[in-house]
Amino acid sequence: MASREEQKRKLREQREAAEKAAAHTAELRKRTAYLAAGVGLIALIVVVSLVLVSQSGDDDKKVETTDVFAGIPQKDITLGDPDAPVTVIEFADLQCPFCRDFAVHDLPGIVKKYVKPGDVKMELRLLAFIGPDSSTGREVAAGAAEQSLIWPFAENVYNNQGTENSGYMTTEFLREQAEAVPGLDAQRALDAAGSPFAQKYADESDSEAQKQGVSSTPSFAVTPEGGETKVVDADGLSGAIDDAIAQAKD
Amino acid sequence: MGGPRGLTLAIVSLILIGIAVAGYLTYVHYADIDPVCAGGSGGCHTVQASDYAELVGIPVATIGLGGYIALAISLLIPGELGRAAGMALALIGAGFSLYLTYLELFVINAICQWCVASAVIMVLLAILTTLRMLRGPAPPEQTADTAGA
Repeated sequence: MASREEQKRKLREQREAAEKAAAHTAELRKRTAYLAAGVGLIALIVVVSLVLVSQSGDDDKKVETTDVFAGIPQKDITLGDPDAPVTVIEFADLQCPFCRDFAVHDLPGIVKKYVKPGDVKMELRLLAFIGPDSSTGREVAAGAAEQSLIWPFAENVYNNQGTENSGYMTTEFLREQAEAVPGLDAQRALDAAGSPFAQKYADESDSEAQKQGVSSTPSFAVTPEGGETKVVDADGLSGAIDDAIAQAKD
Repeated sequence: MGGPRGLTLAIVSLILIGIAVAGYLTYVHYADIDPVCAGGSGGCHTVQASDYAELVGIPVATIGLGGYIALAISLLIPGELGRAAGMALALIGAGFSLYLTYLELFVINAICQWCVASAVIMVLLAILTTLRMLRGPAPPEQTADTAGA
């Protein structure tokens, strides 16, 4: 009799323990689900914040136009003394961020050190490998070259560069950049788009790039008077110019 | 793959591949060279040179590398805290990777295969770490008593 009672008690205890364990497991699952939802929400907030930070960076990219080219002779696409012993052809794309970095951070120093003293003359050959916006910008740049002001025009475009192929390089945008160049007839530069002159500039730039084996921008073809051309990237430019000046003096 | 150990093994494998991919992209960024891409490096170059290749001045590839390393560290944290941290990191990584992929497709108009590979890895990690979180801790080993019950 006692043994039967004992068995019943044991079974009841086992059932209660199983129910308790099941309730505990259900509670744990519920808690885990809440926790996972919380983690998901935090992750979502962090991702949205990162996206907003990424987008807000666009405003910081606009910098003030500098007065890099003041007092330096400009003719067609050439900046500097036409008789300078070293010629540097810059191959760039108006949409290329590395070209912008060079134009904003390195070019002023190069101009001050080599172009102003008359050691180097620079030519700007714009390419259009990134997309349709590059071609649009290049055509108006050709219009600026026609007025011998392609360098400050390109500088303005770089200073206000937008996201590649986002369609920012509209006629209005290009007009603003052209109007900010002292002495440049903005309407004339805009009218150059589609002109034979703009086409000639594009063709000559592309064929010069091909001739020099340029595959990325910015690239620079550095030629000392009577010497051989060396093609370098932005990091190698100063060294190549120093070598070319030394070679030209020999 | 089905059990907790298989899940952890899959997560570890994906983290290692992710570290390799993000590490390579970080290297090419600082070495200032184009990544090797199938069919030419044009797309990779465009993406790497775009304004979106950096976030507050830090290369996105380096942030990704940091994310994978942080994920690996989260695996060493025992219990719910480690599982939650891993899930949070993977979800953030996947969310941001998907945003970057959107930029590649619709804003930059160029695709970097390495970036897409990293995005796929992050999405897989987000799924696996969420499963790991929801499944909870590994069940205790069965003892002779419980096995017989």
